Amino acid sequence: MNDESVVTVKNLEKKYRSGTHAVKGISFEVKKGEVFGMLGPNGAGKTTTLQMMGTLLKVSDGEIYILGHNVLSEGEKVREKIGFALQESGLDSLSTVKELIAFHIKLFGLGNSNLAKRVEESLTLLDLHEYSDKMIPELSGGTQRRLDLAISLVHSPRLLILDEPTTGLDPSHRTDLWKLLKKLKEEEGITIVLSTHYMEEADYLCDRLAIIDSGEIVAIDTPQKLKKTIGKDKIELKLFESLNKSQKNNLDGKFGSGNIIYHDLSFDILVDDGEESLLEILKDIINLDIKVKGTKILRPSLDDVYLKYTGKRLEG
Amino acid sequence: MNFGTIFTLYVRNLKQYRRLPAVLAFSFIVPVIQYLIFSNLFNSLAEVPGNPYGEYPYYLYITPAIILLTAIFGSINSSAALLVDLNTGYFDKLRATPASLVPQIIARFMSEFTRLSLQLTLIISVSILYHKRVSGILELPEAGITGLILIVLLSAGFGIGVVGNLVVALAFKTKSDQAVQAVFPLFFLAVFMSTAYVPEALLPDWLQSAVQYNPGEYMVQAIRGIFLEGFVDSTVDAIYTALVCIVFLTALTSYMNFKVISSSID
Repeated sequence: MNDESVVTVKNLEKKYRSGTHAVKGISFEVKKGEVFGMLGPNGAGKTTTLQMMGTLLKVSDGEIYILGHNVLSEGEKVREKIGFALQESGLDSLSTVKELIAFHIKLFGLGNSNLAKRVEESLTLLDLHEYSDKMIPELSGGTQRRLDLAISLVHSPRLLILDEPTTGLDPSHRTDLWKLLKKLKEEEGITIVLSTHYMEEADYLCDRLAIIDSGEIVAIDTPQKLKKTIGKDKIELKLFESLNKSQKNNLDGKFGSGNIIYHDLSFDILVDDGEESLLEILKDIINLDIKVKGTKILRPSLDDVYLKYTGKRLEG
Repeated sequence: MNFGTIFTLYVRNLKQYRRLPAVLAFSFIVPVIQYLIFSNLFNSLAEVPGNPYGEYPYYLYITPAIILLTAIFGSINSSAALLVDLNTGYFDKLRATPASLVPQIIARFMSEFTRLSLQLTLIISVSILYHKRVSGILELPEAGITGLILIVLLSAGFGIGVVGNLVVALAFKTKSDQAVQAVFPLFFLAVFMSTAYVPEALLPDWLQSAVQYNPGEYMVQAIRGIFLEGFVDSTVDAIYTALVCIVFLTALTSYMNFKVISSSID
């Protein structure tokens, strides 16, 4: 990964006139080509942070640099270089799909000579051809999201900001959108900053993740490393009958007593990588003459991570 | 600020009216109906002994009132398309593009000014045609084409600068079409509390004093002067007073608008 920094946020604060302290001195950096996620419940400060990055909200204190431009003093340059899809896909309800795409191309001063070709490219990229002459209110939620992405991408932005891109979508549309975002990252090399309260989404899409709670970043790292902070993978082995003392001694000798948790008709073995170790462990168990009814790999989830850092569970 | 962006937004705003046929239809039809009804209904007033409207038939006397009312009515409708954008979230979506806040507001006022100017041109044309039907003479107002253009600019300036700013501020504050429409009776009353429909001599004493504080009165005086008297000294004075009124009130309402919009994005 290229080390060029696309987003730099330093000690960012947001205090509303109402007195609400929505963002409390957060700092992070996003590198070129990364998908950076903000995971947290509603009201954690994710949307506020993204809106300050997108010049939609005033910054109370701190600094934000997007592609080298200070958001406070160079808002216009920032807006020319980013694509921003808001939480609610706010689209012009008085336009057709094609008209809206064409309008956004013109807004970025790009449509003078080859407007039709550019509209065609946008329709193709987001697979929107069949809807091109439809009025926007006639589109489903999923299609509106795709259109929102299409108009956010008309000027080939180097940074795409997505505020809860799949909220309100059914599982199949959600998966489609994930695939599309993966494709944008891999094929277009676009840097993406997104907020979500879906752990599965954060796990699937994000290269790095900031866990946000009450306006503060409580943990920041790759999803894998964050999960490692919870502990080892667990391999659960279900038994036909309880283990006797000698079998337990053999298991302790083989795997270390600290790595085994015994239950009535099952036991757990703690390992670094459950998937990688499973076969070897099963061979060892068979050699110890223990009959196993079934196995399951239990890995720490982002929910466990969230629980560890905030003391709460994040429903998603 | 990029003027190309403002122009792109301006054209898009004008195109939006294709999809708001009710707003467009009412903007153009209601003032015409109002003009024709008022003219027919009260025209005989000018025939009563001691005609208080001087040498003019009543339909000519009230033409400035209908023009002003059209400007006000049309400006109140100016929030309709803006409210669609605000309530769908598209206004914010655009703010994250080169079409940030200021270009959007400027383009919105430009497109409303255009629509309103067309509306005013229509109502003035109707009044000229009505005059031809009654008198058999096709004639322009006393101040000629220049006067017509000035009437359109003054009325549209007052409508968009003063009323438009107020309703846009209200639209930002409430995001409700009903709330915006609810202010219409206030402006309607303001027009009635002037010499728009009756001469000052026929107003009750308290209203004769109040008229001096009604900005609408200065607009009516200027438009009536241009329409009926031409560019005589009293008309030129009335035009200057109306201009001062427009500039002062536009500055005041723009400041209010700025404060409301700023606080909505703070």
